[in-house]
Amino acid sequence: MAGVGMHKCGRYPEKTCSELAVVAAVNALDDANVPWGDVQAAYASHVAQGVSVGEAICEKLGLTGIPILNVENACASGSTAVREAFYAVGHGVYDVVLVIGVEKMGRGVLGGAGEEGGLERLLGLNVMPALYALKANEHMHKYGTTKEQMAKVSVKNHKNGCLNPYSHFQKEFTVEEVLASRMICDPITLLQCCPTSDGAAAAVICAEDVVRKYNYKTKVFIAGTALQTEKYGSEQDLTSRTAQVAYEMAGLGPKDISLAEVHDAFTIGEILHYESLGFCPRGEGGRLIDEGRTEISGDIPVNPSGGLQSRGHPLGMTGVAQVCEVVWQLRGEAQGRQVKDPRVGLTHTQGAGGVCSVNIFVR
Amino acid sequence: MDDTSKPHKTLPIKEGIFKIKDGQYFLVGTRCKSCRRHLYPPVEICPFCFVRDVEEAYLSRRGKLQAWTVVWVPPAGFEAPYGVAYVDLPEKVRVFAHLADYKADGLKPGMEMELVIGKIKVDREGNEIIGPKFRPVANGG
Ligand SMILES: [Zn+2]
Ligand SMILES: [Zn+2]
Repeated sequence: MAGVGMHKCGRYPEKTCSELAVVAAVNALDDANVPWGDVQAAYASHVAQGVSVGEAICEKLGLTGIPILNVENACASGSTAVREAFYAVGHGVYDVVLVIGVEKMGRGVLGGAGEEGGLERLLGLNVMPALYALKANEHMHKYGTTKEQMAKVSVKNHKNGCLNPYSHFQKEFTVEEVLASRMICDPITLLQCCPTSDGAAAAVICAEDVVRKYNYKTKVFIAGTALQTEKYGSEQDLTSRTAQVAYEMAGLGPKDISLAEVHDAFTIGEILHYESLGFCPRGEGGRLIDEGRTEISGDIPVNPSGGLQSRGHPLGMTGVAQVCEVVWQLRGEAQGRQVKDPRVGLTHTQGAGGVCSVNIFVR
Repeated sequence: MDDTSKPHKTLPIKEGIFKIKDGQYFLVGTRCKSCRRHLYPPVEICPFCFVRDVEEAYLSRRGKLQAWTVVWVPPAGFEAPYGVAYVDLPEKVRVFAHLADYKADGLKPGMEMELVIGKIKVDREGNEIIGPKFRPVANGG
C-alpha cells in the first residue's frame, strides 16, 4: 500500500460522485508520491452510481488509456476492489494501480440485495436493520447480550469518530441517548445505524520492488485477503469462514491483530464480528465491549476510525476507507486516535446478498 | 380517496408461494428428488446438489419461532409498524415472514407458530395484497 487518501464523509448534494472520488484519488496519489501517469490500471468500486463511474473519475484525472474496472459487491465492493488490485499487482500484471471507492447515498432505510420482484422485496423484508435486529434478538436470547452493550458500540465509535477528521459525525453520545433515539427495528435505534453519507476513499497499490521509487514511508503489505459468499449447509457463519481463509493466507491468527476496522453498519454487527473474527469466544462479544477491550486504549481496538457508525457508510467507499485507516494506524499517522505500536491491521466488510471480505495488512 | 368505481381486488403477493388445499392455506416450497431437502421459496435448481429434478412440496403449517423484530421504519410501499420473524419448519426450512400481530404478547423463541394468510399491504390501485404471516398457536389449538 503505497499511499491512501480520502474525501471527508458527509452530505454533498452539490457535488457529483466523480468529483468526490477525484479528491480522494489525488490525496492518495500525493500520499504515495505517485504521478497519475504512472498508474497502469484503476479499480473503481461503487454500488448504485450508474454506469462506468470509474471512467468518469479517470477522465477528470487525465485520459491515459489505462484499463479501468468498475467493481460492485454491495458493502464489500471496496474490499473486493482492493483484493482484485492486490492480485493483479501480486501476479506481476501491473506495478502501480489505483483503487477508488465512492458513493453518494440516497435517503431512507438501507435496503437489502433482494432483486426487483423477488419475494423478500415484495414482502417488505429487504430491510437491512431488520435482518440485524433478528440477529440481535437471537443473540440476546441465547447469550444474554443487552441493549446497553449494543449501545456502547455506538458510543465508542462516535467517540472515536470525533478524532477522525474524515468522519461524517463528530459528536459524542451517551448510552442513554443512543437507546432513547428513534426505534428503527427492535432493538436497533437510529443511533445504532450507520448514517447515510457520501464519501470517497482511494489507495495506491505498488509492487514492493518499485515502491521505494516513490516514497520512504513505512511499507504496509497485504498479508491475507479473503472474499467469501454464503454457502448452503455451512456450519460456520460467513464472517468466521472468511476470516479463517484470510488468517490462513496471512499465517496469522486473531491474537496477532493489533487493530480491526469491522462492518458496524448496525451495532449488533460489531459484537457478532468480535466473536466471528476470533477476538473472543462465541457469546462473549457483549463482555468484550463492557470491559473496554475494543477501545483505542484496549488490547484489541476495533473501529478506531469511528467505523461505519460515525465515519459513515457510503457503500462503495467503505472497504477502501477501512484500508486508509489501517495504513494510517500502521504508519503511526493516526493523530489523536493512534493505537499503540500496531503491527497488524484487519479490515472486514459484510454486505447484502451474503458477501464478506476480510483483508489483513502488516508492516 | 380511492376511485370507488373500480372494485378493489385481493391479490397474492406472488403467484405460487402459497396455495389452498382441503380448505387450508399452505406454503408451497420445493423438494429435491435427489437429496430430499425442502426449500422455500420454491426453486428450479437444488442449491445443495445442483440437480434440476425438483418437485412442488406443501410445507407444514406450523413451525417454531426462531427470532423476530418489529420494523418501525418501512421500505417504500409499506406501512409501519409490522413484525417480521424467522420460523423454522419441521422440514428444516427457515421461513422469513411477517408476524400476524406485531404486538403479540409473550412471544418466545422456540414457541409454536402457525401460518395464516393476511394483508401485507395495499398497492397503489387500492388492491389488498395478501401473503404468508405467522401467529402463535392458540392455547390447546
Ligand atoms: Zn453495509
Ligand atoms: Zn438436492
